[in-house]
Order: sequence, then structure tokens, then C-alpha cells
Amino acid sequence: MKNIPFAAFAFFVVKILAFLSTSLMLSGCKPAPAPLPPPSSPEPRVISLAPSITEIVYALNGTNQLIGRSSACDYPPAAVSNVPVVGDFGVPSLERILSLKPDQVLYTDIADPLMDSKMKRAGLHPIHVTCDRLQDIPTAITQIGQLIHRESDAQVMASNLTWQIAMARQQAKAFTHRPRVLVLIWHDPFYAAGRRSFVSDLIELAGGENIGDEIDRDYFQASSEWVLSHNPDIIFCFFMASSTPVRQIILRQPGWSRIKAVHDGRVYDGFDNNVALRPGPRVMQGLEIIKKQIQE
Amino acid sequence: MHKSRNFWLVMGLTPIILMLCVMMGSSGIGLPDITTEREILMLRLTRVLCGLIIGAALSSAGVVFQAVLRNPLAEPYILGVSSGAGLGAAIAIVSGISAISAAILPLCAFIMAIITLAIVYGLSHNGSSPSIYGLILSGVIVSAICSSLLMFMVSVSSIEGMHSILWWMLGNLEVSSYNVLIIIGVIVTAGCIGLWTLSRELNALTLGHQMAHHLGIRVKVTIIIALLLATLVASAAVGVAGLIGFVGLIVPHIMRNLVGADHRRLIPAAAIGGGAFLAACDALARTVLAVEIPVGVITALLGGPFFIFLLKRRRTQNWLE
Repeated sequence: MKNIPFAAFAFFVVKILAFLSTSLMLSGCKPAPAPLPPPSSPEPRVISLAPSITEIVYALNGTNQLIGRSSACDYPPAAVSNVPVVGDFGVPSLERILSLKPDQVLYTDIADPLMDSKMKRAGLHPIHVTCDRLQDIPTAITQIGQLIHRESDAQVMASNLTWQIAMARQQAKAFTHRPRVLVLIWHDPFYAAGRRSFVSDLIELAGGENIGDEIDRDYFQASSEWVLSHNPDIIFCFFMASSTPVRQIILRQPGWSRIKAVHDGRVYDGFDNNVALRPGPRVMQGLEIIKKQIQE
Repeated sequence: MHKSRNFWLVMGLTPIILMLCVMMGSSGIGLPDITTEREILMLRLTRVLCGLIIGAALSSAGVVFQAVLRNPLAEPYILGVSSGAGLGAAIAIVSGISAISAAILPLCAFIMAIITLAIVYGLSHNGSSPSIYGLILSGVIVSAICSSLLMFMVSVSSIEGMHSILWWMLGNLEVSSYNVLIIIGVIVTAGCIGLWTLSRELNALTLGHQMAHHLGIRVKVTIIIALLLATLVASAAVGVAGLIGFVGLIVPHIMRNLVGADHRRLIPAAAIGGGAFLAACDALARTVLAVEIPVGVITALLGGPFFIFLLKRRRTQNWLE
């Protein structure tokens, strides 16, 4: 019995050494994999990890090139429902992406800060598309158009959108009265849209003034006191769970009956959040909805 | 002697379990084709290997903490390593330096874990060598401070930053580079072997400090070395894989039950068995649902009932004495 510990130790050491040598081998046989240049096939097969990218690919008639998507990519349902899902938004499964053998992987945000390098190491071509703010959308359309080889469509769409945005900005300048707007994306706790949010751009273009703009963040936790002291004229509720009667929640907040928006009955809910909060090609629709309420 | 039979059973089953783990994945069950699906095979191999290393680190550290502190609830994170590492990871993510290189995030987490350990050690130091209670108490306090700083960082970060920090805290065994895997492999192997050489001392310590002293063990020195070594190993594990709970608490108990309390056998069994356990949990985590489940969820869901089963069975045999 006495030699058992030694045998165990020897076994243990041999085992660990075996695994270490395997790992060295693994690293040895892959010397710093320089990512290949993106393949120049006429119709590159892409995976989109963000709903805004998926919508742009669809708008450019590239859905047949879309071979994978995130579970959040839900528009248009008929076109994307048959496309395999590679994970939730921000948390893709590397293995599923690899199994689909895409030419390119397009993403906006991924929770894992190292996912880009992991994908490159696995021989994929991840491409980061900046599509967070209003002015990013035309650029993103052009970029995606080049990537999926639909440059001319993309050019037309991007310049069209740029023109529409410029027109809307011109119109917005003409408004003399700019209602002060509070945008809430959650109620427990209250989360409001700040200066760096996409919806703040839309409010500005719709002729309103986002009171959250004084905070230099995308979204921030807003206290009741902060809301009361800013006394917004309009409250927009873009809650993620749109099935709940969110307007009632706002109206029932203790002390909020003094707020101008609540007093005047200008608390709006029931929006299609995917239009209003998603920086994609449907942005002008989202803008129209917001504009209608602000200018009411 | 069924304790030694169990030991060899653990050792023998481990390669089979690891093999099965390589066959499981989100893209389908079965061994990936080496020619056409080489990347997928590599991905699974590194992940299984990472599971083995992290599981070994947490389990053997757990064994040592439970022996030294003579507390069945002790676990590798007790000296504040996890909160320190979490804070390091959050700093790396929020400041954006984690995007520079694949090694930065694990490195920041590891360094902060070591700094936390140094602070804990320094606080419990009152001239001579630190007392165990001093170590535990300062561990709890420093851990609480780190946690609140972490919460602060989460609350002021952007939505994406928050997402990344929470993602990190849930734990993940996908390594970002082979070099990171090699480094952690070396640290954990060296640490486990170091702990294993302390087996006789640990055996004596479980009898009580007085008894150990009379057996000729330098109690305090042994305790400090064992705790520091175990925490170092745990820090390396947390740095790479984030906070994976339960392995360091449950696997030591299960292994003690299977192979006995002799650390000469228990430490290797916990290291190998714990590694296989974590690799298996991770294989399930990436297979059972369409969306990957955090591996910590599976470790608790699988380990918990098994632990209760052993507890029930052993109660009749006075295991809890």
C-alpha cells in the first residue's frame, strides 16, 4: 500500500506533462495565424451578430448571403427565420460560427472583449461595424455594401439616408418650441437615455430636447428626484418588455403627478422598440413615430 | 481496499470523460473531422484542456483550504481572490486595455488577485507570522471592499461594459490564446505538486494543530505556505476562467468520500477528478441548450445532488463525525 502515493504521483505528473506537451504542440503547429485577406468570392457568405447589421444586409438584398445570425436578429421575420442562430446578442458561440464556415463575421458589440482575437485565431474574419449612433448608419451601410459586394445599392441607400437625415435636421431647426423629453428604457430601476444614446439623436431630430443629454453616458440610472427636478414635458417609455402596461407604472409613481408630462397626459408607450432603439435602415420610420408624438 | 480502488477508478475514468467531452459541442455531437473541421476540434481540445487545468486548480486548492482551516465550508475564494480578480477584470474591461492583447484581461485579473492576497497577508501580519483567524477576517474585509469597488465600476460603466463584466464574472473556459493556456498549465501543475508535497503535514493538521505540533510539524509555517500556494493556484484559475463557483467546495468533499482523507491520495485525485468534472460540466454547458449556459450553473446543478446523495449514504457510516 505504501507505494500507492508514489504511483499516484508518477501518474499525475505523467498526465500533466502529457497535457502540457499537447498544449505546446497545439501552439506549436499554429504559428501566429495571420488572418487571410477576406476572400474575394462574388457573394461572400456572412454571419451577422447584430440585428442592425442583419437589417442592413436584408435591405441590400443580401439575405441569401446571410448564413448565420444572433437570436436578436428578428427582422424581417420571413427572411431571417430560416437562418441558423449562432447565439444570443453579444454572446455568440464560436463553435457554431466555425461550423457554418462563413467568409466574414460582422458584429457591433460582443460581451467577451477577447472574442475578436479568438475568432481570428480560429481562422475567421471578424469585422467590427460601428453602428451605434445616427450618423453611423450611412457609413455602416456603405461598409456592409462593400463587404457583401453590393456597393451600388449601398451607395444609393446611404446617400438617400444621409439626405433624409439632413432634411430632418433642417426641419428640426425651424421648430421654435423644443419640448423637454425624458426617455426611459427601464422602470425598475429607472434607466434613462443619455447623450451618447442613439435615441437621443432621434429626439433631437424630432424637434425635442432630451433632458438626459446632460449626462455623458449611453444609458444611466435616473433617480425619481432627478426626474422631478428636471420636470420633463414628455416621457417616452421604450421598455424592453413592451407587453406590460408601462404607462400605468409611470402614472402611479408617487409624487410624479406634479411632473408636467404626467399632468398633461403626455406619457407615451407601446412603441415598437426595435424600430426606435435599433440603429438600422428603418431609422426614418422610428423618427416619424417619435416626431408625431413630440409635435402633437 | 476500496479507497484505493476508487482512486484508480477516478484516474481511469478521467481520460474517457475527457474524450467524451471532446465529442460534445454546440455544433453537434461527435468527433470533428480533423481535415475539414480542424478549427472546431482545436477549439474543443483547448476548452477541455482548460477545464481540466481550472478544475484541478480549484479542487486541489479547495482540499487544502478545508484541511488547513478545518472547516468544511472553506473554499479557494475565501481569502478574497475572487473579488480581487473580478475587480482587475473590470478595470481592464472598463479602461479598454483588454482589447489590446489577448493576455491583458487574464493578466490584470491575476495581478489584482495577487495584490489582494498581499494586502490580506499584510493586514493579518502582526509582527510575527499571521494567525489563521487574522487571515480569514482580513480576507473577508478586503473581499468586501473589492466587491463594492466592483459594483461601483459596474454601475458607472456603459451598457456594453456592464455586459462584459457580468459575462466575465459568470466564468468561461474558452481561452484567448494558447500561450495563456500554457502559462496557467505550468502554474497550476507546479502549485498542485507543491501542495502534494505538503500531504504529510496536511494529514497531521487535520488531527488538530496541537496534535500536529506534537508530531513534529511546524504548524504555522505549513499553514501559511499551504494557504498561499493554494491561493496562488486559485488566482491563476480565476484570472483565466472568471468566477466558477462550487468546484472548489464540492469536489474536495466528493473526493474525500471516494478516496479517503489521506492527502497523498486525495490531492492528486481531487486535481484529476475535479478537472474531469469541470470539463464534463463545460461540455454539458455548451451542448444542452441552443444558447450556452454559464458553466457555474452546471457545476452546482450536477455537483449539488451528487453531494447530497453521498451525504445521505455516508450518514449511516458516521462520515460526518
